[in-house]
Amino acid sequence: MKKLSKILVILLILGILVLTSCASFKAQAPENFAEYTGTPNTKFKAVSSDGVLYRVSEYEQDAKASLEFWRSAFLLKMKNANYKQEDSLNVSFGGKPAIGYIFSFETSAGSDSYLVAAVQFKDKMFVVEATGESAKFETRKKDILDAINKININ
Amino acid sequence: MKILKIFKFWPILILTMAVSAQVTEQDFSFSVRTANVDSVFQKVIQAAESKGGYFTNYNNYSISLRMPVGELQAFNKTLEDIAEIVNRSFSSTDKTADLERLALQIQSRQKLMDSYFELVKHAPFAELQAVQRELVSLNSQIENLQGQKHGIERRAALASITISTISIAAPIARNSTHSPFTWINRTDLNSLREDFK
Repeated sequence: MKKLSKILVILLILGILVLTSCASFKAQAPENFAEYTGTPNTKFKAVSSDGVLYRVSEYEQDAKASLEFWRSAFLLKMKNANYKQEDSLNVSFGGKPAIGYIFSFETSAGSDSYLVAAVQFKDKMFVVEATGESAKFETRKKDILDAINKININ
Repeated sequence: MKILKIFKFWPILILTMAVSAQVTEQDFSFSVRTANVDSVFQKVIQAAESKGGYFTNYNNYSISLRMPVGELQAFNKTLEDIAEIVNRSFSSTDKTADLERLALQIQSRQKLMDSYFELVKHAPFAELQAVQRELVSLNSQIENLQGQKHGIERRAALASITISTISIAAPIARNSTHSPFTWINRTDLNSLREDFK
């Protein structure tokens, strides 16, 4: 009996470890992007040959709120941080509508674009970000949006 | 009231008076606050050139000029009209002793040259070459000393002015502002870029 209970405890611990180490989402790199390996399960990173960055992140988010609430909270922060909103996106991933925006800002070398899309699933927030020099970003935008649509949430 | 207004320019007045008794090289430094650095610098250059001065160095944050000492008061007034002056500093270096020393050195060499010219009239042919060499050397020394003297006199006649700027408009900040929500605070371009380094 003692031996059996020991085995059960070990199996339970292993089970918890397996569950916690599984990713909550599955993402693919956009077309012609190279995927980073060795990233934690809560992140997915990829980069194009001309330096456009793509990242999917998972955050703990216990407080549950509507899409409109997250839209307001997010835009408030971006406005206060002087990001200039260029476009709003009609995106969804994991089968759920998400908030989505493209911002621009000036740099010494020109203008960069910054895309953000986010959606809440239960107690997690999934955030997609992409950025690059504006002209290069435009050529990759469709592939990035296609990749966002293919994100699966477990 | 007029006396009080004059006291506003007291440092320049005192230094200008000092100039008439001594030979000094003067350096003035101003820090000004402005929203439009280029416009201020253009006006400063125009003001300097209209008063017989010129600019010697120019970059995004500072400008250096040379200005006739006699025009300093008027230039100071012009600068006050162009931008808010937040800091002034003055320094001067007394060059009287240097000038006197150079004048004496030139004088002594001139006297020696005159002696050699006299010598040439009566010197035997065999010694003429040696005398000629001495004359050439003395001439070169005198020219050099005169050049140094003119340089000091020129620098004393034109004060050196440096104007540096403090811009009023703050650059656009890219810092994230605090939100009650972790994911919003971490959704930031700087953090995204850092993650790919």
